[in-house]
Amino acid sequence: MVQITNTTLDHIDPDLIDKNPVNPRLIFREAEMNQLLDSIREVGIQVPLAVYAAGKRYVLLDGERRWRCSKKLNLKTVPVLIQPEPSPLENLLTMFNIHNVRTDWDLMPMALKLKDVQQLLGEAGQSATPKALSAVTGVSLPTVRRALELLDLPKRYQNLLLEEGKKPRDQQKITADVFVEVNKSKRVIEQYQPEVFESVSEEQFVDGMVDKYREGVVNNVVRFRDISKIARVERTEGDPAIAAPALIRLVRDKSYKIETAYEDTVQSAYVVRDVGSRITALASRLAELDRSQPLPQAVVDDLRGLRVTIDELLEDY
Amino acid sequence: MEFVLTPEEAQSTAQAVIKHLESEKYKVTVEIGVRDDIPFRPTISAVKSGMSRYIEAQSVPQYTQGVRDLVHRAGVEKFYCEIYIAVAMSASLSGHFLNELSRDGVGLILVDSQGLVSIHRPAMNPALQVSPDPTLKLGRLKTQVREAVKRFNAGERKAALQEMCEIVEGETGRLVKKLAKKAWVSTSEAAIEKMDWSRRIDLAASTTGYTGGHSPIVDDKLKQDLHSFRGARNLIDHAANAAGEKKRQTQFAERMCMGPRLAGELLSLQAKVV
Repeated sequence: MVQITNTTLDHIDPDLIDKNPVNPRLIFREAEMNQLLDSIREVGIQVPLAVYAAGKRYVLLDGERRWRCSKKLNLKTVPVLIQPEPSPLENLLTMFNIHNVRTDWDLMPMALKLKDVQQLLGEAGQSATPKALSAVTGVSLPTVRRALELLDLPKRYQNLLLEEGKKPRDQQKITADVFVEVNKSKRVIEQYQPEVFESVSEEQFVDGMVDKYREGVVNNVVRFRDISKIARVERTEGDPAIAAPALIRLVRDKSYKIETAYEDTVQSAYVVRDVGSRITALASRLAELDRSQPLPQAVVDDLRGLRVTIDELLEDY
Repeated sequence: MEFVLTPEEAQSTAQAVIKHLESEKYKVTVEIGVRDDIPFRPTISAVKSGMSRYIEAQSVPQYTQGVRDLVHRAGVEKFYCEIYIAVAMSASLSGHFLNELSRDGVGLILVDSQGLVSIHRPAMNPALQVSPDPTLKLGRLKTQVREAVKRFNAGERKAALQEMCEIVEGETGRLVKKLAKKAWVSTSEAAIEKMDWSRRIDLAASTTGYTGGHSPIVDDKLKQDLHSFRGARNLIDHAANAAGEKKRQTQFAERMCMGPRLAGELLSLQAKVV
């Protein structure tokens, strides 16, 4: 046993080590595991695991992959650095700082741990804003925000995400991204088309959108952003009255696609808005042309073609 | 059951196999060592009536070093067990992988998308594997004995042991007939024809039946072994209960081990009768 300051190097039975209860579930892929097993079989565990003592047993702070492999290989002992037991907040932050920099945790388990950190920071009288959480955990601010968003989900959806997270990634049908995008569109509807939620509940909306995704009616999470565009129809100077019925139909009609609702309502208005902004930009660029210099013939031909198109469009006006 | 060591991709396969084994009344544990000195913990260990099944659940079929280590030890120390790799039916199985499993007697379990479990290739029990002494001189019986042993190791135990019984019985008959032909014994060939196997063994080992100063060509030890081996036919016909199955199966293997040696000895004795 070697004592280094307040940390001790020792060799202990891996069966005496327990997983850290605050560590969100670690996804350990088969190929990755086989690779590490081969390495440990060949050269042993070169970097000690980090643990703290808890009675007669030990709790893992760092080295879950090595620990799992050591058990799979039925090793009698593993090298460990025994550290002093951390406080609950220190333990949580250690988990974040050790693990999150190395691997992507699933968002839902991370969100639940962030909630614990929030609470412990609050109890310690410290700031628990997303920015503060990002600073103490080392998780990027956008990720913290996305994770916290999941905490607003009904419990059943949180459980669904935890269950989905147990599956291999290629078998996961519903990911946190679905809920993040659906939630964003829900908030936009609340702001711009609140009457939608007088006809259908917010929960029905989330259920409807999740079902659409599950059934393949929506095949890309980014498609949910079009719902926000429909809700913000007034930005395009389109008819605000057309948005709410389409949004309600999206919830009630399982086969009604978001792209169809988009085409039925605001697509042309967005095209017009887009054209308007491009006309302004083009006019501005044309004004910058140096008239003392002759224009290349290709540009002259394009401008003449443009003029014909514009004249045709303006015939009815 | 909760898995700690089993990769996520293999857990649904493992769960389906556990359910299947439990439905077959196996006592199931997960991720425990077979023995302290074997550097591998299979996903599933299941025991019923003295038979252990060790099953490694995988998503990508691989004959990993861990499974190899277990197979090696089980073979050397004749564990009474079966070792399997379990994968989803949709997994792609290479010919090389299947050949390696067959060569080492590792079974293959397939789990379909509904969680239904089937044994695609049965495992060989190392305790029941027979490998005759390679120095045995089997002459004209070589192919016949090798085929019987191969069948036995492939799982056709009753049929293979029956075949081995017939070989040894036939060679006993040849020996005593030759003894009569060469006038080593006073019994006529016609009388020998009417004798059963037991009486032929007794005749070959008889201290009174020999003539012309010949001493019994079959000694007491060989006589006992032949009678003991002859009892294997009863094993074949006798139905054992679950608890006695391990004992019976082990006896099968013991008898099967005796077969080639006895055949070799009888062959060698026949050559001495001139």
